Amino acid sequence: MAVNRASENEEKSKAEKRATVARVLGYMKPYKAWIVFVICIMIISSVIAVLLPMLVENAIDVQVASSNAKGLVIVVCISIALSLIWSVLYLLRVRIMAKVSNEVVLTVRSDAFAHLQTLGLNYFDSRPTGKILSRLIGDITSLKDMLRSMVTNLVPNLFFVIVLVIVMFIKNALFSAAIMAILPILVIGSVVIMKKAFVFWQEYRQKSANVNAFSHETFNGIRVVQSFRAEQEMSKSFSEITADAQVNWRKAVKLSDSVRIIIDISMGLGMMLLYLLAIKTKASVGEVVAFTSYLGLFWQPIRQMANMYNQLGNQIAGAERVFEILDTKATLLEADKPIELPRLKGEVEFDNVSFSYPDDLNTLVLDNISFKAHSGQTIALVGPTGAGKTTIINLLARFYDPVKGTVRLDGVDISKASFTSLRAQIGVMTQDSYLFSGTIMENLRYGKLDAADDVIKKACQTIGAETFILATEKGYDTEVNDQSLSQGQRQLLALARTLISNPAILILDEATSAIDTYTELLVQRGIKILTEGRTSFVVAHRLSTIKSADCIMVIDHKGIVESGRHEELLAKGGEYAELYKAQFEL
Amino acid sequence: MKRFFPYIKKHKKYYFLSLLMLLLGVGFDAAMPWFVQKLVDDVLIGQNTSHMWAFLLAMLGCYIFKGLTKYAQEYTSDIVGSLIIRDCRNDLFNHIEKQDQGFFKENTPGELMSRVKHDTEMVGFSLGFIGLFLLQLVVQVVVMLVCLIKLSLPVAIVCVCIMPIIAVIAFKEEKKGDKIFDDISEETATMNQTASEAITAIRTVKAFNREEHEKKRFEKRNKHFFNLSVNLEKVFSGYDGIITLIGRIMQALAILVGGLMVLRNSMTLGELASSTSYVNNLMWPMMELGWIINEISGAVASGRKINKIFNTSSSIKEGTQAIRSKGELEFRGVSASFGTSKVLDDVSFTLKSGGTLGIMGATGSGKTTITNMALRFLDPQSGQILLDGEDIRNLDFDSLRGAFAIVTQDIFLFSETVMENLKIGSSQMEDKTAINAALMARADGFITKLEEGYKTVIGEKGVGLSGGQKQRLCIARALAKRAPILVLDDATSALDMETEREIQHELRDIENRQSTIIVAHRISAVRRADEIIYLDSGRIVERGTHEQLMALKGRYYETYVAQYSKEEADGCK
Repeated sequence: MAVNRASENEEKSKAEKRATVARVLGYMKPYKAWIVFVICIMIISSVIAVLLPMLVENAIDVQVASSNAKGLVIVVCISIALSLIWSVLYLLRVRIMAKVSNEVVLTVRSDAFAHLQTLGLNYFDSRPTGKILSRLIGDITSLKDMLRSMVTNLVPNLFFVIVLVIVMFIKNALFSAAIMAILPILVIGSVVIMKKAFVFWQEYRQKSANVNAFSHETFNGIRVVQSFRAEQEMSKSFSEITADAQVNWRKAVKLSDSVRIIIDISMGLGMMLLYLLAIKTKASVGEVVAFTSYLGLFWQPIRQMANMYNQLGNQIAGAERVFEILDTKATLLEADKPIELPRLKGEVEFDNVSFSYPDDLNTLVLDNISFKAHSGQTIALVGPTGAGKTTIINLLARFYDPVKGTVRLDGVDISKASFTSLRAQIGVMTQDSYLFSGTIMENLRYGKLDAADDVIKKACQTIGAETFILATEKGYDTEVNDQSLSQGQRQLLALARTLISNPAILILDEATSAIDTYTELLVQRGIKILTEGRTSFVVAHRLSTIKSADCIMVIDHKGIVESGRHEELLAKGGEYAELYKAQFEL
Repeated sequence: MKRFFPYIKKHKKYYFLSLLMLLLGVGFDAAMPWFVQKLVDDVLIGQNTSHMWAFLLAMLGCYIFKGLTKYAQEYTSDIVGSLIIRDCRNDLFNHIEKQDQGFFKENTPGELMSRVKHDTEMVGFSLGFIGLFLLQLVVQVVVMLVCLIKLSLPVAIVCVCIMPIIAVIAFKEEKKGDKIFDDISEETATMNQTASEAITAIRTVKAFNREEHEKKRFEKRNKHFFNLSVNLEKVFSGYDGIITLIGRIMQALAILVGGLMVLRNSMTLGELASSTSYVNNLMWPMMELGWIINEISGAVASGRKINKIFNTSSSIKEGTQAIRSKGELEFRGVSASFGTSKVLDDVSFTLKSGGTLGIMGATGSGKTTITNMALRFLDPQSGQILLDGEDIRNLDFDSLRGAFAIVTQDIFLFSETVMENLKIGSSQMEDKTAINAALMARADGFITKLEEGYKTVIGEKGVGLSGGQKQRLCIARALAKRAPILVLDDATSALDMETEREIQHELRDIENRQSTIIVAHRISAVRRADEIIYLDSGRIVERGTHEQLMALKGRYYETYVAQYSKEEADGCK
């Protein structure tokens, strides 16, 4: 499996920039009416913003100059009234946009999270948690920024520029044409800069994700870091990662910021051309001065749009990282018309099952395995580490699909069954069972949210977990997280949780490895009571715990090499007998 | 905010550069009208074209240089922000790394990640870009005000009267924003942690078919975050709208006052025109104030969170003494409790150099606490722990933790290559040493079968590997360290019998050279130890060699019977 490490960049998205922008804009569809409203507000606001300086001019040049005190007061009042309208419109506009843009983030983030949950385990196994988080929490805000600048910047400014250009052409077509001739410089310059900066923005986003991933991982494994005195090494690697992020940001900004030089040069050239033409055509001073003020109005929106375009690079780089999650295809799909499994009797069949991991199809982890387990039986899987015991369990619980062959429960191909009806009936206790932050009670109830308190307590008593639970500060209401209990205690809780979920088929993968022998005896007795009548699969290295299994399957890299009851296998003198002897020779 | 001054100081040259560029830009801005005026007066009106090109090019030059200086100003203020983010991040990371275990129980990785990533960004951006921008505005306001006072005192008084109102509003905005940002920063951390849990626990989630449940949990956070974000913008838009309005009213009033003065002939029209342009230049900094305050309150809230972490100092203080341990460890009457429950109660033992100590006991009886205390992840409330006769509280961590190589119960590997994982903490280690350790831990076999052998990158927590393979890597990692004391905390639980037997043979050879502490549930793992202690609720209830304990017929004996058989147990006697 190709695994990405914390300090290493992920693969860059190859999505079309234009397609990404279109996709972001697509999220605005449900808010069409609001968007139109906001754009109207923006246009009115910009008109007011243009009128206000004109009123100032009028107050001084007309009213004061003609000694009209009343006129002055009126003009001042009008400008205050317009300012008030502007502020109210501003309030309205920001509030609407806040709702719309944040709602888009809300939706996409929820969608992305929901989609993540449907992805196969190999997605999570092949990248550090921090990198997924940085897409889900950090990169997603670029959607908001992009939407906002499109609605409140691009559209109104574009409108404004068009109106202004028309007015300018009416006033003086020659001057206007001259100014327009400059624009291509600005456009081409911006496009070239953005194209180059975009690569750095992409790079920067990746480096930022590395910062996330590396810190998350280090804090997660802090005990290892501290006991191996690796703090300095980690700090050094981390400072390399942060420096990398900083350098790429710097490169991106260096290019992006330079757009403003191009804007100023274009403005300068425009002015130069204007005066040159004015001189050549012997235009009047009034005409030139008037046109200069139009130019001032003209450049403002142009500058804003250039700036927006310039930030677009960073935003697209963020958005495409979010869309990548949504575009990752779930490898495990529910059947088109899924079968709702009834309560299972517990017949399990592996029919010529082969398996290899999706990104390494050449290496077969399981090669043509077949077996049957009958209702109520206990099947033990033993064999060397890495032989594929956990893989068999992963296939049975449908964490993965086999590349060949079929897994059947009560005669139904599990790939045709609905996820809910399948998983609700299979209780798996995995090797790396996780305790969520919450109370002990909440954790125990995780597999069956409606389990009654006394059912839960009963189960804990039966497997002998209650002693330590009651010894904690608040008993069942004690807050725990994945770090706070001893390994053995965690296993006890995880085991209780699985049993409480009341599955038809129970799978225990090394469920008691960290539990002392004394408690284990209690646990085994408890399991026996609780698994009565259920088909169960047990993976264990301690052969003492599986002696009483109905069928023991010895798994080797070659597949199932032996199967039978404890006594039969011992008498046979094969691999199992070897293994059994081994534990006494220690 | 004092915490962040050194960062500003460190990068002061960028601040100066940025300010210098700002002033230069103002200069070019001021020079431009002069050339324009010349063009109009001399060329356009005076019809004197002899200097036309000179004026035109000079004007263009002004634009170009203005562009360049503004660019330099913006770029330097961007750089300084990113440098502060980088430095603050590194310092915060280093500080967190040194915290004790209690800190990590309270602060989850997702939260801490958010502090290191998100909160430093908020602070850095404000100290860099925003700070310089604010400075620019302040300079502008002061200069304009001085000019205005000189030109027309009454107009200046109008502005001076109104500006405090704006300041009060801005101050209120900051306070209110600070509170919301506090919640946002907290919620960002919580949302990170919630998602982080769901991702880390994906196997458990899928096993219990709880995708919907996790989705709801996350949606709750997401919705909360949404409400906070919307609320923030609502609040700020309110303040922003009012500040802009007052700014504009100030301008209108200034014109009114000025205009009336002109009418009374106490001011000329020209003076009014220029004072209006000053007022105009006073107004736009006011209009920028809204979002600047927004950013600043965000930075203040984030800065407080960062500061809180910086102010927690690990309760476990490193000593200063350096020693080269021979591997002798002694516990003298060590007791410890968490809250009301005793975790260790008067535990004493001596591990001689080259000796082996076995620790057994029920789940949660305090076995791992002993190893935690030996490495000073925890300090005892009473009693003393000595390494080579020296109280471990006096030792520096290099001497102390360097004396131990530990294989912990919970397997943790980094998403690095196999080789890098083996060499953790001592990157100068030779490949040979690491490979040797892997051979001893019976890990070489499966490592060389991996796609790229020792250079294969393994997933976070080693997710690509089986439980037994991960455990073997952890053992190899500890063996490669070649420390005086090897601690195996339930280190072979996930191994199959055959591998366990092989590794134990290897370890037996090591045990003769290295002191070893073995925490285990299997008799087979501890039976050869020089002393075995059996813990129950933090107390040593049985101790002695295997033979002595068998003769005692207590807990140890019972465990033996359970693991083997009564016949063998009695035969062993």
